[in-house]
Amino acid sequence: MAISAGSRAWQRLKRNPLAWVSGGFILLLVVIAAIGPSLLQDTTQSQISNDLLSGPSRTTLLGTDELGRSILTQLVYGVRTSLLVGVLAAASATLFGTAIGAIAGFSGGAIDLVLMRIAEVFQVMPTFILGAVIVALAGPGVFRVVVVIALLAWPQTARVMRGEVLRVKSLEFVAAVRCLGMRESAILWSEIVPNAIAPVIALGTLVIGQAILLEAALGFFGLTTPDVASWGLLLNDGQRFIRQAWWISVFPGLAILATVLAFNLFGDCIGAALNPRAKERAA
Amino acid sequence: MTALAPVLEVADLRVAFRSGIDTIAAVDGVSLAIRAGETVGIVGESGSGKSTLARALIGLLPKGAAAITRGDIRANGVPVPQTALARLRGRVIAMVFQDPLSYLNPLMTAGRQIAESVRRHDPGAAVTARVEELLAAVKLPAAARSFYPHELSGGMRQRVLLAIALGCRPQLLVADEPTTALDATTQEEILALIREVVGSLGMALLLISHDLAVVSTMCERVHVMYRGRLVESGAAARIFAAPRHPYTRGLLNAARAARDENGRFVVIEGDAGAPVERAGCPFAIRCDDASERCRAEAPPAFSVADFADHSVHCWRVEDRVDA
Amino acid sequence: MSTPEPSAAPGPVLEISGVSRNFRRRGGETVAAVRGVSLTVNRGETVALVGESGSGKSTLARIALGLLPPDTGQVKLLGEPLYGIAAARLRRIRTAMQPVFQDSGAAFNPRRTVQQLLAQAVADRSLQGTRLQSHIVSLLERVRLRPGSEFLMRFPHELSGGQRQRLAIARAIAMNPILIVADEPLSGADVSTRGQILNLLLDLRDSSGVAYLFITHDIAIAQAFAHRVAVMYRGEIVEHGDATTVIDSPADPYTRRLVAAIRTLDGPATAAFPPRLRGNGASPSPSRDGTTGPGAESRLRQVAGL
Repeated sequence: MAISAGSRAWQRLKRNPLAWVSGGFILLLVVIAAIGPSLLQDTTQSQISNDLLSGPSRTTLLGTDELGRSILTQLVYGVRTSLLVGVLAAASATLFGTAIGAIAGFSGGAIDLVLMRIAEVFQVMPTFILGAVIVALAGPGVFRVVVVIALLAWPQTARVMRGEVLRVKSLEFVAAVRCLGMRESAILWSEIVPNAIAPVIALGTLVIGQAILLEAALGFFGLTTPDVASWGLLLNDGQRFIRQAWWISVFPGLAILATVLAFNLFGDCIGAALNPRAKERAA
Repeated sequence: MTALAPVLEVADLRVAFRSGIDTIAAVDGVSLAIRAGETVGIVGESGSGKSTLARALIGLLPKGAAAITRGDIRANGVPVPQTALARLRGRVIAMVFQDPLSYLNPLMTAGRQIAESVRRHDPGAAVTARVEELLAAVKLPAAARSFYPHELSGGMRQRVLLAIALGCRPQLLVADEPTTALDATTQEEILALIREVVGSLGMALLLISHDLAVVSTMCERVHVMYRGRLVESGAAARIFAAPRHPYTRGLLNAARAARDENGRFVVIEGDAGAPVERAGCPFAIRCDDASERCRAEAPPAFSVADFADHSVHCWRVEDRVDA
Repeated sequence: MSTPEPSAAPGPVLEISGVSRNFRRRGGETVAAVRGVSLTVNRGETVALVGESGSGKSTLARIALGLLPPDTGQVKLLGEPLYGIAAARLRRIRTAMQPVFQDSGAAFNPRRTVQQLLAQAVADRSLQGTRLQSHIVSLLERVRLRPGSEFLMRFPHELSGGQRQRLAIARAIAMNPILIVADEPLSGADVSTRGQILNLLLDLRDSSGVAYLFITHDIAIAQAFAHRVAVMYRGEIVEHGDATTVIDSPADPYTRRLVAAIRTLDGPATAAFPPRLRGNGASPSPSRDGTTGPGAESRLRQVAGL
C-alpha cells in the first residue's frame, strides 16, 4: 500500500494533541476574521456607547475605551488585520526567501556568496528601527507594513532553504537524474526544492507570529494607519489609561500572546510531523 | 562437559518491537548458551534479529520501543531479570560495535576513555599502568592515548574500542559486526587481534556477523538466524562442511559464489519480505523444499543423530530420513 | 563456463585519459583524490575497478559519469568528450551511460512513485499514457520485479534493499545505455541478495551486450564478473589487466594484499573445507544442497530444547 511522505506527515500531525489545540485556535481566528465583524454589526457592541472607559461587565463585555468604543469589537476587527498582515508577510517572505535560498544553494560559488551577503545585510538591520524608518518616511499603510516585514524576514527563510538545498543536491538521486539528461533548472525546482521545503514550511508559521508581533509593535508606536483597527493601536491607546482602564491594554495583549503562541506551537507541530525520529527500528 | 554454569545462557527469548499499534517479534524463541572460553558465532542477514539479540543481552534495547517479552537470561547460572541486565555490563559482558566512531566520545582522548572504563569496572587497579597495558594488548603505541577518535584510522578506533572493552575484564566479549565497516586488509588484522586477545585472556566470544567467512575463521560454534529464529546450531566446522538447513546451504552457496551449469550464481530466490508475523517456518516461502506442514507449523529443534550438539529447525530434514 | 568474451564490433565506449582531481580539505591542505588515471572500457566489456575506501574510486566514478569535472585530462563517451562542451550537448550524449549506485536510501527521489521514477528514465519520449505504463511494467519484469503492475504505485522506501537495487537497474536500462557505471552496487545488499543482483547483471549483459564499469572494494566479486580488472590505490591505478591474470598472479604488492585478504571459508584448524571456487568452471558445479561432508546419513531425534 502506497503511503507518500506527505500523507505520513499528515497522519503524524493528526495524532498530536497540541496540533489540534493550536490549529483549532488558528481556525477560530480565521472564522472570527471572516464573519466576526458582520456578526457584531447589529449588536450593541458596535455602537459607540455612552459608557466611556467602563470596565468589563455584562453589558460592555470586554470594556470600552475613552471614546466609548467596545474593546471586543476592536479586537474582532483587529483579528483581520493581524491575520492579513501576518499571513501576507510570511507568504511573501517565504516565497522570496525560498527562491533566493534555492538559487544560492544550488549555484554555489559567486552567486551564492553575493546572495548570502545581501541576505546578511537585511538580517543585521535592527528590525524595528528599519520598520519605523520606512513607515515614517513613506507614511503609514497596511501594505507598507507587510512589505517591511517581508523585507526583514526573508533572510531567515533563505538561509534555511539554502542549507537544505545544499544537503539535498549531493544526494544520489540528483546525480541519477542528471545522468538522464535533465536540465539543471528542472533538477532544482522539481527534484530538489520539494525535498528541501519541509523546514521552510515550519519556519513559515513562526514568521507569521513574528509578523503579527511586529505589526503590533508598529501600531503601538502609532506608525500604522489609525483608521484600520489593529491590536497594536489598542495598545497604543491603552498606554494613557493604563491605570484607570487596564482592559484596553490587557485584552489586546492577551490576544497577541495567544495568537503568536498558537502559530508558534503549530509551527513546532508541523516541524515534528515532517521530521519524525525513527523510534521503530527492528534489527 | 564442565560443571560450571555457562557464562551466559538464554532460554526461549522473545524481543518485540512496537511500531504504532503493531508488534513485531525481532527475536522469536531463541535459546543458546555460551560457556567460559568458548567462541560462538551468530550468522544472519539483515532482519535476522541478531543485532537485536545482542542488544537485548546487555539491556541496550531502545526503551519504549522494544522489550523482552518472554524468556530467561542467566549469567553464570544466576537468573537476571530484564531490569538488571545493565549490571552485566563490565565484569560479565563487554561489547564492541560495528562503527567505532559513533561509539567513541569525540571530545575525549582515547586514553581518557579507556581510563574511564578501567575506573568504572576495575576499581582498585592502577589506572595509568592499566591503560598502557591495554593499549599494548591491542597493539597500539602508548602515544595513542592522547589522540582523539577523529585523528585515528578506522582500524585504530576499533582497537581503542576493544581496549575499552578489555578494561572491564569481562568474561564474555560480544562483537557485533566488528569489522564490517573496515577495509578488507584492516579486517584481517582486527579479527586476528580479537582471536589472540580472546584466546590469551580465556574470554568467551560471541561474534555476530553476516559474513560466514568471518565466523568460520573465528568461532567454534555457530548459530544461524533467520527472521528472528534459530534455524541451525552446531560446531562451525560441521555446519560449514555439511549444512542441514536449506537456508544455511543457500548462505554457503552465496558465500562461495557457487555457480550453476549456466554460469549463474546459485541463489536463494525471493527475499525476506515484510516483517509480519507468519505461522509456520519463516523460511518456507523461499524454500524449494517447503511442504504444507512447513507453512503451517514452525519446526522445533531437531538434533542430528550422532551429533547431539548439532540442531536444525526444519521439518524437511526429518522427512528425508523417514525410517 | 568462462565469462563470455564481448561480442559485436569492439571499440572503446568510455575512454578516461590522464584524469586528475584534487580536493581542498577544510584545513587548507590539498588532497589528490585521483592522479593521472587512464582507463578504457570497450563495447560489451566488463571492467572492474577495485579499491578500498580512500582509493579515489568513487571520485573517479563521478568523473567518468560526467558529474565532476577533472582538473586535468578528459573523459570521452563513444568518442565524444564530456567536459568542456555545451550543456545542451552534454545532456544529449550522456544518456548512453547510466549509473547504478549503492543502495543508500538516497538513490531515488523519495516523493516519487516507482512509476514516476521510471517514466523519467524511459528513453522513448513519445510514449504516453497506457503505452508508457505497459512499457514500464515490462521494464520491471525484466529486472524480475514481478508482477510489474503491483510495483507501480509503491514508493522506493517501501521496497526491500534487493528490490530497490533492481529498481535502480531498471532505471539504468530504461535509457538503453551502452555502458552502465555501477558504484558499489552490492555493498548494501545481503549475501543472499547479491547473487540475485549479479545474475541479473549477467543476464542483461547477455541479452543487450551492455558494458559495465563495476566499482567495488571486493576483488573477489571482480573476479567472478569482470573481463578486466584495474586496481586503484591512493588515486592511482597500480595494476591493470585481464581478470584471471591479475587475481591469480598479481604483480603489484597492494594487489597481492587484496587478493590475500579474500577470506575463504577455510577455518583455522579442524575441518577440510571444499576449495574456493575459482573463476567459472574450474571446479565441478556444487550439488545444490552443498553437502560434501561425511557420507553417513543421519537420523533425527526430536529434542526438547537444546
